[in-house]
Amino acid sequence: MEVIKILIPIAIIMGIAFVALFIWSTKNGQFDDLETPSKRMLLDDEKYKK
Amino acid sequence: MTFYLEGVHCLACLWLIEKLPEMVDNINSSRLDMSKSLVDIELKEGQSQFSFAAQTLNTLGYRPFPISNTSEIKERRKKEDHALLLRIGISAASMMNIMLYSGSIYFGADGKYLKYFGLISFVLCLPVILYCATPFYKSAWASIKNRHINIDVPLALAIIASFAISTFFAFTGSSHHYFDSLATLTFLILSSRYLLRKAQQNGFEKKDLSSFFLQGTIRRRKSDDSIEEIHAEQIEIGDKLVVLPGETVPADGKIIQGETRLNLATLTGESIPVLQKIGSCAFMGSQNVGNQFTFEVEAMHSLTRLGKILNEVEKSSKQRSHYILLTDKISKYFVSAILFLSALSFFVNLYFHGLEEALIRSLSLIIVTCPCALGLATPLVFSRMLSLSAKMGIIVKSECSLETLAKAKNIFFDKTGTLTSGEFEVEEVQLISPSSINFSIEDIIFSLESNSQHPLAHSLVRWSSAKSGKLKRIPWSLYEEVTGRGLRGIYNEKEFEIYTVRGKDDETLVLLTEDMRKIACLKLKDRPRKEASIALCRLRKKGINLFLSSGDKKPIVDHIGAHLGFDHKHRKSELSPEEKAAWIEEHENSIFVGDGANDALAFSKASASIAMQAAVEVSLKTSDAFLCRNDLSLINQLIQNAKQSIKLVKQNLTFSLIYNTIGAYLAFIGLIGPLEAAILMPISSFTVLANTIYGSRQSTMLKKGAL
Repeated sequence: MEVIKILIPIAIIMGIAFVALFIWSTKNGQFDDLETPSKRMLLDDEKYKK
Repeated sequence: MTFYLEGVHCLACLWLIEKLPEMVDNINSSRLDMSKSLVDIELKEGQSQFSFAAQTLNTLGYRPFPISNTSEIKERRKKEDHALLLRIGISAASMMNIMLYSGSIYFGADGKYLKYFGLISFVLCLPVILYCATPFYKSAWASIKNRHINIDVPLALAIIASFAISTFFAFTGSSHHYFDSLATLTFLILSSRYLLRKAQQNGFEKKDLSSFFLQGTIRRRKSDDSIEEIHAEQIEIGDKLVVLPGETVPADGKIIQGETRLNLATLTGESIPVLQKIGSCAFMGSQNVGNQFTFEVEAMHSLTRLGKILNEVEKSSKQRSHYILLTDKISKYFVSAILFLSALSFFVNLYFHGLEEALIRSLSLIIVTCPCALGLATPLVFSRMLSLSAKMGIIVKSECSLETLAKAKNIFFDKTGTLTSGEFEVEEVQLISPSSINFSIEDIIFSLESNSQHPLAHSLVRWSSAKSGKLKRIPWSLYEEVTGRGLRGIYNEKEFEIYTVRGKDDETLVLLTEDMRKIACLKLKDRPRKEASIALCRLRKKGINLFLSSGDKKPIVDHIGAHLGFDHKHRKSELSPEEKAAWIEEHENSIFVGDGANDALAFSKASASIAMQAAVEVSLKTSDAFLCRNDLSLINQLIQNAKQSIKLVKQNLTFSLIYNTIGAYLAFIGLIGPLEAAILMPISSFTVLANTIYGSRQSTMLKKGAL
């Protein structure tokens, strides 16, 4: 079970990495509008035909 | 650049607006925020700015209004929201990472694993204690300094105590640490506060009630004399705004061009329009019944005369609701009771079960009990109902008013202006003797009245246009308005006069004379509002007794009363204000609906009162609610809103009582540990909030009001 000495640090580092990403994305304003993306998702991806 | 778009309401709008880059060459990107109705457009380099973008948006069918750079307040709010989100995210990350280790401990990790996992959990919990939970400490400390105990005090206490105990246990190698519960508790409570904040924001800022009296487009005259259309949000002091006939004046200012008549009913209660010339004041909320004019803005929104009135009314209505007073009292006792109970639990369990068990159980007790229905949900119910009513066109003075309106058993209606439209309609035409000229009666009346702004003139013009398809205008050689009497015109040396008199039954008669000889007599009657019978019927269905009280003469009151379903017992005529008030006093739980100005006595005697049609200031000083639109069905909606608020408050309190009793008991017994407590408490908080939000949605209230 010595491998746990490697696994735990990895888990913690990954945790910190994701928290850092979260902090960045919040400051970037990605969580400001929670309503529109849910609707935008439903739209088709067709090219607009003039 | 950012635009505020009018007309965005659905998925198709989103599709259309975000397809702009594909449809139009020079637009690089277009992104819509539906909840704020803001669109962010990026143009290709060197493109000619926003007139192009604005035009494109316009052709799609959305009215665009350019938004100036975000003001400081908006920036600050964004930062606050970000800080809250960061705290939620970090506590969530911490919670779940700690669970990795707690999980192992629950499943029996032992020896050195136990020790190390405990220490790791301790470290992972540090961000929660030092950063995420700080709002709770601040709030609890502030309230203690004020010799007051608010709902954050037990929470902060629970967090600090659990952390201290858990640290102690972690460093001495025991398995009784609760870092996971702590992080979970913090995460869930922060989330419910976030939900609460969103629920309060998603609506209408009550501080600017005067925006009710604004309509959509406002015309501003630019320095080169062209006219641009702007949104109410963009008015600035010094702007020269153009007001067309029929529009409402959007701000306070001085008239710089044009002469017109303004109807100041919302401000003064007078429905006869007042002549305004260059240099006179135009007030926000008044209606332009005359010609187009231009004025220069001197005050806007809450600084206008109307805005100040509404502010005063809000400030002076500091009468707190019965329920809120009750819940405030209960909160204070609740929190002290909880602290007492947990101390009790500690000592009792200490005696029977030892230190560890005692600590665990009292901790669980503090955590599981939650006064959220008291501190959070009840105020939320009332504030949502007040802003929802405002959205529907009903300004309610305070939460107290909602309570009294909900209890109503009897409603007393005033007649003129309330049940009737206040505008006269021609009922009967009597031709007395023929006129000697070649024009019909309709032509004569039309030609005399069409230039007058008096409300009676409007009804006569309507009547004559309806009666005769082709009206001929008589070219008067002399035409004048005789103040206090009527109108006069001379044609072919014959003098025509039209003026009003009161008939013997108090109805209004309009006499048309030629050279002092009566040629026609028209009887005008005040008709009931078209929605009156349906609205009254719906109110009766709710089990409310309706009464008609009026100062007018018996025949008219009987006529209208019979038409609207008031029998002898429920209608009274020729009442003086004192008699009206006395009649109302005989009945308990009564609402009086009337015209603010001359029913002040009746208003004060009724348990609750609703004003329509008259001046805002006078009305709101004496009554509980003001209808922005002259629509009787709003009364139905208002009563429904009031009843619903009380229902929601009762539901929340009942649920909270049951939950707290059961939760505290289970914690005392030891059937719930801190982790379960940390999960249950926010769930109860969520439940109460969700019940409030769902029960006060606009769709729900509209549906209920219609029954």
